[in-house]
Amino acid sequence: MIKTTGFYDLCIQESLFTSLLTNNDLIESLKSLHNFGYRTIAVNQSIDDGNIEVGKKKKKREPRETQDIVPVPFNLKRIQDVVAQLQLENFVVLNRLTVFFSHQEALHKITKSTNYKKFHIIAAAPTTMPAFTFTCTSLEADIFSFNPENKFNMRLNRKHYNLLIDRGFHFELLYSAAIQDSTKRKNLIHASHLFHAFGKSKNIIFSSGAENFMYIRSPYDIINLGFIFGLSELQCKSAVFHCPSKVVLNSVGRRHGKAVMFVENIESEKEDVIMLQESEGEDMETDQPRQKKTKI
Amino acid sequence: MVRHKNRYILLEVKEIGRSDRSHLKLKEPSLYTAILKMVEKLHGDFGVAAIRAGFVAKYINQHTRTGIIRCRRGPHKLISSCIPFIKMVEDKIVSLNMLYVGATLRHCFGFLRNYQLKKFNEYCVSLNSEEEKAALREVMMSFEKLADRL
Repeated sequence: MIKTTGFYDLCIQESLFTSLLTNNDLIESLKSLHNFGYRTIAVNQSIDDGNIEVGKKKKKREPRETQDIVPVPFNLKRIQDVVAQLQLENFVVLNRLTVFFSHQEALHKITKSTNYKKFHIIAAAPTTMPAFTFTCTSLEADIFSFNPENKFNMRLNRKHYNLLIDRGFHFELLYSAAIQDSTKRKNLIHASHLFHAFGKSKNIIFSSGAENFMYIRSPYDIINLGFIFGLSELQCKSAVFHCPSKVVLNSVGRRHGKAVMFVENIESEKEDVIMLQESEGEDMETDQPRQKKTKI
Repeated sequence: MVRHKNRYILLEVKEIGRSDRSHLKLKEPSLYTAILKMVEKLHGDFGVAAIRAGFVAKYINQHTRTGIIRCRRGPHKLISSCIPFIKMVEDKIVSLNMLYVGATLRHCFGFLRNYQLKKFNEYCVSLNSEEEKAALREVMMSFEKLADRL
C-alpha cells in the first residue's frame, strides 16, 4: 500500500531528472520540492500513438523482433536513494505514463504491453474525437490530460464529462505550460473554462508538467493561480491536495482489479483484546434498555 | 441541467470620412480578427481564451453596414467593453456603434428588421424608380440567409 500525503505534483517530466546529471543538482531540486510542500511526485513519461504506427510497419518486415512499445519505467532508485539520504519523511515518488493517441487500435497494443503495468499512474490524452469517446466509454486510466500546445479540439459535453467523473477520471491542467508562452496559456485557459462550463470544474487536478525546475511553483501559489482557470479557492485547494490523492488511490484500485483490500497483521497485546471483549459485552447489555427509555 | 446562454451583439460599422449612404465592403473574417486583437490588447491572453468558446463575428450587410457577434454570456462583457476601442478594420478607419445586445437571434432579428426598415425609408427618398426600390428592398430585408450563416 502506498501511503501518500502532503501536496501532490503528479506530472514532472522525465527530462527534468535526466538533465540533472550530478547528484548535487538532484539533491538541491528534491530539497526545494520538499520545502515547497510537495510530498508526492510522479515522474512522467509520454508516448505518442503516431510513432507507434511507424514501428508497426517495421515489425511486419521483421516479425521476430518483439520490442516493447511502452518505454521501461524511469528508474526511481536514484531519486529514492537521495530521498533516503536526505531523510525526507513521507516523500513518495511514482511512475506515470501519458498516452497520446488518436486511434484505439494502437492503444490496444500499448495496454497489453508488460511495461505498461509497471507504471503507477496512467494518463490518457486522446487527440481525436473517436479516441475521446473511446476514453469516455472503455479506457481504464486515472487522468484525462491534453497537450496544451494544440488547441483543445474535443467537443465536450456534460454527458461525457460526467461519464468520465463516474469512472474515476480526473482532469489535469499543466500549469507550467501557462507560464511558458502565450499560445499554450490561451489553450489552457480555454480548456479550463470549458471544464468550468460543462462540469463546474469537478475533479480537476493541477500538476506542473515541468521540463525545467524553473517552472515549478509552490502549491500555495498554484492555489492563487487557479483564479484565472475559473476555480474557486476551495476547488484549487482540492486540485492540489484531495483530488490527486484520490487519483493515487484509484490507480491502486485500477491496477489490482475492482476491489482492493489490504490485510495487515497488527501485533496487539493480549490484555487489550480481553478488555475490548469485556467492554463490548457490557455495552450491549447496559446500553439497550437505556435507549428504550429515552425513546418513550 | 443548465443550458449555455449566448449573447448576440448587433453592431453598426461607421466609416469615418464617408457618407452614410455609401456601401462599405469588408471581408468575412475581418471583423472577427479586429475584435480579437483588441480583446488581446485590453484583456490579454486571459480575455482571448475566455471569449474563444462560441465566439462568432459576422459582417452581414454592406448597405446598412451592420455586423453581428455571437458569444457566451459572461465573457460577452469582455467583448462589449472592447468594441468602443476599435478604430481600424482592414486598414479602414471606422468606429463601431453597438445597436443592440440580445439573448436570442429572434430578438436581434426583430430589432434588425425595424432598424433596416427605417434605413430603407431613408434611402428611398433619393431613389426615383420603383424597380430600384424593389431591388434595394430585396437586399436589405432578406434575413433567411443570415440565419443560416450564424
